[in-house]
Amino acid sequence: MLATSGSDGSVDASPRGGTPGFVSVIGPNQVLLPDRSGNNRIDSFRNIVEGSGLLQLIFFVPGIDETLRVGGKGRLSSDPQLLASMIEFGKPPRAVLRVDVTEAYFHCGKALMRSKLWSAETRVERKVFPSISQVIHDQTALGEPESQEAVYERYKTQL
Amino acid sequence: MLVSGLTRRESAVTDLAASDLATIYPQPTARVIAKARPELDTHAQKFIEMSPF
Repeated sequence: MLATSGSDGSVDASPRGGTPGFVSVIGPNQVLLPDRSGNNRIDSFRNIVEGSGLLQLIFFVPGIDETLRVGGKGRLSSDPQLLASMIEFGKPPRAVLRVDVTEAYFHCGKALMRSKLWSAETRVERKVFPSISQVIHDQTALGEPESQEAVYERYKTQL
Repeated sequence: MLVSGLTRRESAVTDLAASDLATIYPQPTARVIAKARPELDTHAQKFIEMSPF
């Protein structure tokens, strides 16, 4: 989870994910986060380049209730060699966020224990909530609503 | 029920000042403060290496 703030004081938080270790630890004060295909709003990255660059990350590991918060200052790179070194899902990232780490903090597990986030008993069937395509269609009347199955199949080609 | 509950909650919202927080929350322990580290130690590095999200 990546949180950033813009030059106007606005804030943004967005999910980031990949295979375990998709964020590379370069050293005790530096990590690299590849940016994969998304919605192209680039809210986070616009904040980083236009604002202070200060950001926070929270890392989750399925099965572990504690989380790790990492704070620091971000810079963006589109260096071809760097991008080529971070190919995942058959594609290089579009950009890489380099974070100069100034704080690392393990949160206790109470919030995730309360939520039972990793428990099978709290999982819901996907069908209890409309597909994101249906939600957007209901909100905007734009496009044609897709079933969850169609969304999932389309996503699989865009990872 | 949810809507009426929210209405009651919204009517009870006040704007707390920073000085008010100390009356609600005790000081964090020294251990909690000290666990904010200036760098990624071996535990933090391992956690990131295991993290998919």
